[in-house]
Amino acid sequence: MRRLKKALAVVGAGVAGTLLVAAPAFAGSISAPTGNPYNWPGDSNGQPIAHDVSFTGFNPNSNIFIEQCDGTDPATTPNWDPTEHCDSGTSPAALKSDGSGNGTFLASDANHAFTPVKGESPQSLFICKGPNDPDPANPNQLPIYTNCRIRVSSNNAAPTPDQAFLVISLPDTVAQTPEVPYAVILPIGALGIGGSYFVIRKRRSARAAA
Amino acid sequence: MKRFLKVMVAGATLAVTGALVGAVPAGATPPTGYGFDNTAHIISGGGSDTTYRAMVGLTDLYNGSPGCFTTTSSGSSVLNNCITTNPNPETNTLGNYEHDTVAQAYPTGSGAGIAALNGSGNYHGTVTGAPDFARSSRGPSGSELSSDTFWGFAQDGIQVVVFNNRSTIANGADPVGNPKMSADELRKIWNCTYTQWSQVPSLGIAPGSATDGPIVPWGINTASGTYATFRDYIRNATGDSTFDPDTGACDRKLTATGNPPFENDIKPLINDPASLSNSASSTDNPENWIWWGSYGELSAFSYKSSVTRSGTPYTAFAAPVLGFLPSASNILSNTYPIGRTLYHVTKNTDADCPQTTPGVCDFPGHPGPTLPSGSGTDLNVTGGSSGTSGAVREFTRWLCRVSAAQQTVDPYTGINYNSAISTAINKAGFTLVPTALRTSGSRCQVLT
Repeated sequence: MRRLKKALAVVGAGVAGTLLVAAPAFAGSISAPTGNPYNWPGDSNGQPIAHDVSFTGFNPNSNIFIEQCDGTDPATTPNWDPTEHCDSGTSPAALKSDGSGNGTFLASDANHAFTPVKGESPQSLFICKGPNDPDPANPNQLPIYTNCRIRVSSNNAAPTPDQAFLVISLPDTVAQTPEVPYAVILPIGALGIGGSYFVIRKRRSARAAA
Repeated sequence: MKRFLKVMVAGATLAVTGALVGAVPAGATPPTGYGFDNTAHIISGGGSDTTYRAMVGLTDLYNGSPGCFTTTSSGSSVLNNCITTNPNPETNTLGNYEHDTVAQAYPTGSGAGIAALNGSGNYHGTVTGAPDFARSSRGPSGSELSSDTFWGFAQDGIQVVVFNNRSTIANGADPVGNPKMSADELRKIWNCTYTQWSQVPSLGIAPGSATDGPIVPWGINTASGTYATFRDYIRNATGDSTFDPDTGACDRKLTATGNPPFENDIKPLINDPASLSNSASSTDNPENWIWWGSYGELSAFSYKSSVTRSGTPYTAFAAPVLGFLPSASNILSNTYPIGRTLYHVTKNTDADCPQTTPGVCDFPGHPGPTLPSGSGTDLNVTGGSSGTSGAVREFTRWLCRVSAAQQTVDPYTGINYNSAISTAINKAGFTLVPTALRTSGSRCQVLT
């Protein structure tokens, strides 16, 4: 009995004292957009633009991050690590998840909007390109991918149980029609108009003669 | 004949033994143009808490990087020194050639570390009582550059933090449309001009409302670079040269010691009051607290920024500064208002940059030794030619090389150290030094 009382006293002291523990882990997912791959929207030049990304299933009221990763598959790559395969330089400010562990990185939010990078990643870790784009200049001899991913997680600096991925397909670069200078267009235009006048006049003369 | 054979055997034995104990034949030298002397030395760093984990990771990489063949004979008096029976000079491996041991002493703060490097104080946990190099989360101060060189190897940001539901002050923050929390507002919080949340104009909190309450600003260890960077940002942005976030009557200290808490960990704050409150009017309600710390540390190590006490979770969330919330993206692009470079600090005599104009590093104008491949040159770091001074010089060179061609491959992972260094920096929550801040010819920002 005395031994039981002592044990209970110890347990009680532990509970009554300051107890600092880390938060439990959750399994997150990206609820929107969807697709495999998701065709990421671009502007008229084929450059990616910001787009809403929604998540669910994360720890409530917690800092949640989004970043861009290369095309390696975390599920099949041994010892996959975001610091080797993702570039935190693509990451906007952390977003606080709501009381249910959900949230959206809004494209309209200056601090939280996410825009994937086409080309060399900000810290020169990898290159992402559109599926039909030619390989860009690559002086750093970085790996090139057409199946880059976005990652949503509670930590950009380490693998997490809650990390979620979405494979994205970046827009192809749109070929720009080169502008012809006025110095070339105007004389050609004038020749065209003048030439047409004389052709029409000649035909009218021929008809009149007939 | 027997005597002849005995002499021959004895001579052969002597030659073999000489090789095993690392006898230095005439002319054998370490790679030319480096600070190696074929002897393994131990050097130690000390100072910053913010950069401690990053530097531990980096020194771990360096300690395991390729080098010379070493003496391994049990009982040898030159155990672990380079075997020097190779041609003169020995082949440069581009790694930790002589297998120096680099250690990191427990943090005391950037200022204390730099002072100890320069001979002030007795830093226990270092080899000689003074670190061979310092860790710093702030730039040079006063006359430090007259004796030291600052090698900026990573980038971080100072994050102002609030707790739990107070995080709503960040809602709608926009650097252009809604630049919440000016430098002057932060100054007035820490100099106790503002005592209520409703007094901060940009937050728009109505007096007496449910979200109003006392503002409780916390201080930070004054020896830390995190303290100095925040203080100097407010001073420079507001013109108040006397501002000090630790000396206001309202600037909270730890109850037990009367001192401001160590930086980058909310646990001492959460654990400080005998009990925490959830009353809007209580100073022991963390939702009324405001503090600051390293963005990198607090985002990479969640147990430093999010803990549960007595069943209630407490998390530090970023507060806006001029409408900006800190991110790796705006820290890397150097657009976040309170960005900072993190430094490895050496004595000029140990490691410095070459200069054409005094005080201005000129790596392109003074290339280093030709690389072993025969194509290109190494980063030129001047300084020690042997001993621990040379060891500091070579660790510094490795840390700040600019390209994969100047680095070798990690024998454990097969990854070039140019990438591995970037990964180690990111693992600690930091980014690389912004391109615009790097000294030409190096991945570092070098101040001398």
